[in-house]
Amino acid sequence: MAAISEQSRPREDETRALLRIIAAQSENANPIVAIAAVVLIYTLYNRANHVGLWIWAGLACVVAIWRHIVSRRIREHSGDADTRALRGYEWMMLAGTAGSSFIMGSAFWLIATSGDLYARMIVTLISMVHMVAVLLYLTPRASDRVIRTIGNLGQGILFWLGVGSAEPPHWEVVVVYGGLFWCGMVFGREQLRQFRESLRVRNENAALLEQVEADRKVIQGALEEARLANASKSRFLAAASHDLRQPLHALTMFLGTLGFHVTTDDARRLLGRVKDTVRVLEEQFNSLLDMSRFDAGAVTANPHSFRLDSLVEKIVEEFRPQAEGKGLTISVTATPALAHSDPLLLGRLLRNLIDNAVHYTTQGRIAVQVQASGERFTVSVHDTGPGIAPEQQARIFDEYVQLDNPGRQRQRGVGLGLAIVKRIDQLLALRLQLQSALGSGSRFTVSVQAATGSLVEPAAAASPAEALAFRTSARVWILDDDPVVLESLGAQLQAWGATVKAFARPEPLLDTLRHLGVKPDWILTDDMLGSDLSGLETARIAVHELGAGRACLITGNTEPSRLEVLRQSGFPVIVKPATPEQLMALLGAKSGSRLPATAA
Amino acid sequence: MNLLLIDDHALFREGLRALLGNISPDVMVFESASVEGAIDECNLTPFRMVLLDLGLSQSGGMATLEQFRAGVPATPVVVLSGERDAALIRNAIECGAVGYIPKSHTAEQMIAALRFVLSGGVYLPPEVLEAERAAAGQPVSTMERERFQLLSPRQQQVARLLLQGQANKAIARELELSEGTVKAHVSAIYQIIGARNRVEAVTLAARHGFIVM
Repeated sequence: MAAISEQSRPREDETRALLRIIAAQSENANPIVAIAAVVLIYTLYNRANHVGLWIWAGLACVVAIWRHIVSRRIREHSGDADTRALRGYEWMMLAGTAGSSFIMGSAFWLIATSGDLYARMIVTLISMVHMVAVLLYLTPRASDRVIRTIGNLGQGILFWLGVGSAEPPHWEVVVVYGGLFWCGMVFGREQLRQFRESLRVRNENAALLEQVEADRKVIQGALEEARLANASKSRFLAAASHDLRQPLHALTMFLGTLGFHVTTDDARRLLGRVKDTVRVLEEQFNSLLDMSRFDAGAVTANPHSFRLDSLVEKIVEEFRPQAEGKGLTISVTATPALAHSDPLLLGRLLRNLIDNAVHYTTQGRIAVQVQASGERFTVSVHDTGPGIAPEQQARIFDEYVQLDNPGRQRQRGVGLGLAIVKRIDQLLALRLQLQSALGSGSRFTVSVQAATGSLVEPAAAASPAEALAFRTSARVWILDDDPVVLESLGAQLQAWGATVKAFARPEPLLDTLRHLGVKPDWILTDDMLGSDLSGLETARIAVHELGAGRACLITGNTEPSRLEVLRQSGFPVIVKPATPEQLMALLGAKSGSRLPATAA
Repeated sequence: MNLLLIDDHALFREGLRALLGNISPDVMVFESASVEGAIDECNLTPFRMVLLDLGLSQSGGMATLEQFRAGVPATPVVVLSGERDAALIRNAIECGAVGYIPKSHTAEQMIAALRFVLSGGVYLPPEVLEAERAAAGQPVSTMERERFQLLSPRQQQVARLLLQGQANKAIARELELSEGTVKAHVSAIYQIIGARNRVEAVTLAARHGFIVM
């Protein structure tokens, strides 16, 4: 049933479209037919039989009204008409047009026979125009076209062949009729073809649009499905990392408790093995969770600028005991490098690489290098281990692949280390490379983007040696209501060679300044002194009125509004605790130069 | 000594309670599965400290800690968590925790950590302490190690409450000092121990074994 309606649908659509066009054409033609009839009557009134003229005009009117009614109905009802109704309209339309043709042809007998040559020619002319116009109507079948014109054409030809009159046959007029008919048939067929073509294109476009809409819905559905799947994966991860690990943690607690109750050596040994097993289980579980986190996109990079050389040196130090315990030499050569990447993830990657190197190398050395290379730094981890055959090199980054370990050494996890390395490499775009051959060790290299800007030593980077070597001969007065601060600050300054005077309250300091000939080069004062005068007021009086050299405020009060007041004062401000570097920068700075110590 | 254990996993609570019973028999362990229940419990019984699981399923993460601290600001909180991400640990201390024990510790590490915490110390996982030290770029000097001893008895009292996560106002009330004095003490403490903020101070206390509870 469905198949039939699917097939008949395009035909029905075509019929409906055709009917609409024919109806419109026929309605447009009606006024023209009316005008033609009036002209005919007017011009031939004195040349032909009156009765014939009126009969003819009356018949033409009846047919015109019929066609008008049919056209109207088609226009109004064809939209929701079923196949049967459409067929009915087609027949009514066909009957209307065929009737109109027949009445047109009847003009030869009703008008032309009783008229003169002029009248005959006029009737013939109008008959021909009518025939051509009807042939140009859009009709679905060639037979329709014949039925529509035959009434007119047949009567015209019969008339000019001399049927029903004394005239001899006029073949030339018959030939003209035939030629016009043939032209109209060809033309009408071509028009129908074009019409069908445009209808097909229109339907195809509609179908395409429908398809696009359907595709869009499918894609939207898939996206929604993917979103849900991702959400459920995230939920699983959250659940896994929290709930699934809890029994493991509880197990550890119970094992710890059991340790207090185990007395025999055998049992203790057994307990040790159980604890090891739990540890390995937890490690493997964590690696698996990490892998899923990477794959779920739950791990994101947080890049910033950091000292790559320090990071690498620190990591190598972590592995030194393990490597040296195996009798391996482990060395690090690092050029100072300010890199821009995610240090946590990069550190993880390097740890996995070095851990691998330490594990697989049985003798020789592991060398880690940081080198500048254009806009980037390369970090390489080189070992004198067994090496990796070229055909294995791509495979080692896959999950759960361990070379030279077919029996799966139990302590070695599940082979996720390099799989995690690969994922971090992709996340941070580190251009991971491996150079290796069987028997000649391996070299893993990553390339890290350099940070823009110059190499700036972060705060607190002065080495103890620098702090010891610093010397100053400045006279420094310090003011703080905390004796411990006075003591530790004073000790530091004296160690650098400064002449120090310590005050716990502002008034004695100002008195001393008024009466003593020697003025201090620096006054270092706390701001909150537990006195009527603040550190800032004391500094102002001392420097601006009493001729002290310079003053610096060392404050523990980090309330923004007060800090702002202090910064506006023009004195350098140090937020407690004052580091040796800040003090060195302060005392070492030339008068009037901008002090780095103003930063909080 | 009363201790409150807040964790929504009964199995873990049971395990920890058994372990604590063996480490220190004089500890009375109370349990709660939710923050709300814990706050009610704290209003009935004074606790020396609270061991709080950060991963409680209803609240979750730092919100758990903040919710508990808002309800019971005066009880020191040691966080127990399955996570051991450095940023998370730092965050927990910023939110007022005075110690952090990863649940992923081995039995031996867990016993050591609990003993340390029960004796009033600040416990942080070794890798956090290592990282802080590496960031400072220097080995610990003897001078630094003695810094907590440089604190006056009054400053030590303030330092304990400060490290426990108490606000200046609460410290002032507790020690019957003015808030200004407490502020001055706090800045002096930071100056002496060489810390810039409470997180650094907690880390230093953990490293040097300063007793805070």
